[in-house]
Amino acid sequence: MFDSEFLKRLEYLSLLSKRVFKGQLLAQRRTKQTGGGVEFADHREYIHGDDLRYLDWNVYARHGDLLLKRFQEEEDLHVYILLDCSRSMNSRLTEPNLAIDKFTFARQITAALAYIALADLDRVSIVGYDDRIRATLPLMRGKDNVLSLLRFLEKLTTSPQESNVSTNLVGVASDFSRRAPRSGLVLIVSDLFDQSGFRAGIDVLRHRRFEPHVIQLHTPAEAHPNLLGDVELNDVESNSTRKVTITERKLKQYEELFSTFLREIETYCRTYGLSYTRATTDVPFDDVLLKMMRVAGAVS
Amino acid sequence: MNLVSPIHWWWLLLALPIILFYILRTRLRKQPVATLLFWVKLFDEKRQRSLWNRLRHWASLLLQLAFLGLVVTALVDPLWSGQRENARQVVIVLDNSASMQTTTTDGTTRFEAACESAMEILSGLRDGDEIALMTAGSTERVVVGMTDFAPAIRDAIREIDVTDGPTRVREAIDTARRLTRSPDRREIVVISDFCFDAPELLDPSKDLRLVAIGQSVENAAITSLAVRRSLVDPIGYSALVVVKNFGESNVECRLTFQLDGALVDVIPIQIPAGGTVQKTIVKASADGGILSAQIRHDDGLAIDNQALAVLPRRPPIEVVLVTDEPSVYLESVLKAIPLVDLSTTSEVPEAAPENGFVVLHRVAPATLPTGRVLAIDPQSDSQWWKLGDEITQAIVAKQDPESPLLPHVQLLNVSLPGARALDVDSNATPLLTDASGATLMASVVRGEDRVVVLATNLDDGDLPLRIAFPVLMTNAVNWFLHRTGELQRALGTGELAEISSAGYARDQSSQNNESSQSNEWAWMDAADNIAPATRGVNGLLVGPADHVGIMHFGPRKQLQRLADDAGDGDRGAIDTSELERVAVNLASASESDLRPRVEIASSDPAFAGSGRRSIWFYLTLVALGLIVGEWFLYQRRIVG
Repeated sequence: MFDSEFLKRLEYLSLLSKRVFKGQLLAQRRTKQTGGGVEFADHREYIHGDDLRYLDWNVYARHGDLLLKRFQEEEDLHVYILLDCSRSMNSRLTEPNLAIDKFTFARQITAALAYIALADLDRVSIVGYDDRIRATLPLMRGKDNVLSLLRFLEKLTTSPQESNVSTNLVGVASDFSRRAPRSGLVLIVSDLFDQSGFRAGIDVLRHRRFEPHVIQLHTPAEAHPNLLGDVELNDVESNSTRKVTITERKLKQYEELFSTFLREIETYCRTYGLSYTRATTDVPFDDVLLKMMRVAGAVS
Repeated sequence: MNLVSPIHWWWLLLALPIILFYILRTRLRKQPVATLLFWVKLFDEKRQRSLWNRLRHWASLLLQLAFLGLVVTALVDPLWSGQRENARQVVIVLDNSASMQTTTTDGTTRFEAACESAMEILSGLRDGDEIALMTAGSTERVVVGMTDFAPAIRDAIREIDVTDGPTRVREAIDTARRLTRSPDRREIVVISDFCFDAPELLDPSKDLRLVAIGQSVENAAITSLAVRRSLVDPIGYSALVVVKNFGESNVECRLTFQLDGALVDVIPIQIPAGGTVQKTIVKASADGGILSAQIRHDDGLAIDNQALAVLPRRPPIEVVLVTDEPSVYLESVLKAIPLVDLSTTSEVPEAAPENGFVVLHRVAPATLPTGRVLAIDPQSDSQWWKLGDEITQAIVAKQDPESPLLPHVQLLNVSLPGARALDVDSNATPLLTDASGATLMASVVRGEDRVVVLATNLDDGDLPLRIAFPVLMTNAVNWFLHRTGELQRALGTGELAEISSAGYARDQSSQNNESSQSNEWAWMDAADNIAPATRGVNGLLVGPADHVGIMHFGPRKQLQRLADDAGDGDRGAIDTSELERVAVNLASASESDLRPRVEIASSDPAFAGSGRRSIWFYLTLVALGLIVGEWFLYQRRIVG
């Protein structure tokens, strides 16, 4: 899956990201915390017990005020990628003739994002999940770890058929936020087909001071299914079935419903200032990354 | 109610696979999806009405079975009793005469338009109707007899060719009436341009409907061409051509004559509207051949712009001059006659040459040669005459004006020195007599023998120097060889003609003498169609020919070889000497006149209208509607 051509494209994306963001990306961003850095941030009133080494003696000599110097603390950004490994991501089950299935596509995007972060000296962790956390790649830093990251992604699979598990982002987010050593950027790569909805899971991350970014993936046929007649629909995650007769009118209604679902996600992200990217599997993964970069660049 | 094809009930067995496929179709196919979230929401929001949900599959099956039932019912073709009683016997009379070759303004011919009309009539037939097809060009022909199988008529219409012959609509109508059994159910439909004599006499009655084709077209035509050999010139001939203008404007064109492809004459002619021009040409040719007259004019009909005639060949004439005292005058005159092949001898032959005669100059054997003999200045008696005394001062006082030997010969008051009176029997014809009534010249015909005797000394008088003498000799040549200026008749297309044929007569007499089986004689038209020739009273009955051109007639085997060689493109290689030829022309003023003579009601509403279609047609329509509805509602999934 990750051949040399893929790596070349990753490198290209990495270089491109540096040129686009010019030091505003990931590790070069300042944290909101102030503390033991070297770059002056501001003053605050001295409180009893503060370290006297940080008193601004010059101000005290001139004005007699006890002010404490505060410095911008520079630290590595922690990038967590939550990769949906549920069976709904395995579009080979629903569309065998698809050129690239949704899970492969998601892993490619995950690999690209992780590569860019590693190249920027951030700490990256990948978490595969369905109803719970299935696999975790611990935090790592530096491009030397790219190969182990790719190997991790290559070994990652969707949930087995007999598991009968459904996506549960709420539980995963809660579990993840407890395990994460620090808050940071959380990139959720998923189709967001969650029975309990997508909001609760993302809310958990937001409330735990993580910075969620949503990358939603789906196949073209999921938006515009080509089904007519009497069919028995089978949910690949829960194995539940439904006998229906699909008419032209029903198809149109389905498409409207799916569009509404997409709009809801977008509205939610916009409401809470989260970045949101939607991609279909018929688009190359690097085009999706470029689109993300353009959006981020425009915002910045 | 009867069923035309009850065997088609077997098609109902198709219901079994329909039901089978229906059962298979109602087994749901499984379709895995990434999530049921949206589908559940969709179908939970708008639940189907349960009754319709149960019935809709049955309705689909019933629609399909109804479709099959209607189609099979259409196949078995039910025929109501009323339909059978009202079945008609229709005879389509299709005019395929020469005038139907006229090209209309849209580039098609009148005949093609007539065929289209016939096809429309076919499509308007009802079940139980019987139909026959006839043509009325050249001769009336029954192409397809009474049948209820319309496709056979349709195929036959496509196979019909237009002829070069005249219209035979009246004869065709008579035949059509004989063809139908029930006058009450009879309908005769004549599809024609009605370009023939007195079409107004056709009364569109109960059983006759007229469908007029074509508009008025101007045309100029050669309506007559005749050629004949000259009476005085052995190799001369004259041709008469009549050209008529059947239009409302003057026609200026050139009239071209060709003999065997070689240009003979070109005459510019001007024909006033509705007028006629006659032209005569006088030319010479010993070999003869096919004489064609053609007008160069772009008009409605091409085949009447050319006419053909056969000019017979004049063979050499063998003349044996028997004399002991050569006569310069006589030899010179005989040699000067065209085609004469003169030989001089002193021995009297036993018989005259087959294609010639013997001239006895001052010779009179006791027994004359058999055949044709011209005796000049005989010195003794013979079995045909007795010589009298010499007449002093013999002057021609009377000459026979009726004799074919004396046209254009003026010998009255001519002195014939040394002439002797002839004593001939009563069968002889005195040609020249003197004032005393003595015969100076006479002719005798007895069986195949012909004798002319002139009892005068050529050297003593000025008769050889007179212009009448060579004319007299030429007349003698023509009389001996039975030449009367043969008028070679050309046949018209569609004409049955009796032709006297020397070859046929010889063949018949030789067969009678040898008591052997006679040859089968036949004729072949310009399109190489061979038909047997029947024996007439005075010759052969040939025709009617459908196409203009040269008709050959003779023994069938030779005609067949000629036709085969024509197919190989090597007609010149075969010996056609035993075959005889006759020209066939349209030469019909009524056929060349392409203007309507009378207003004929065109089209026939009785054959139009949708109410007359068969029941299977409506069954098929309903079935088609059902299957389209089923497809639209179920296959397109309008109904869910």
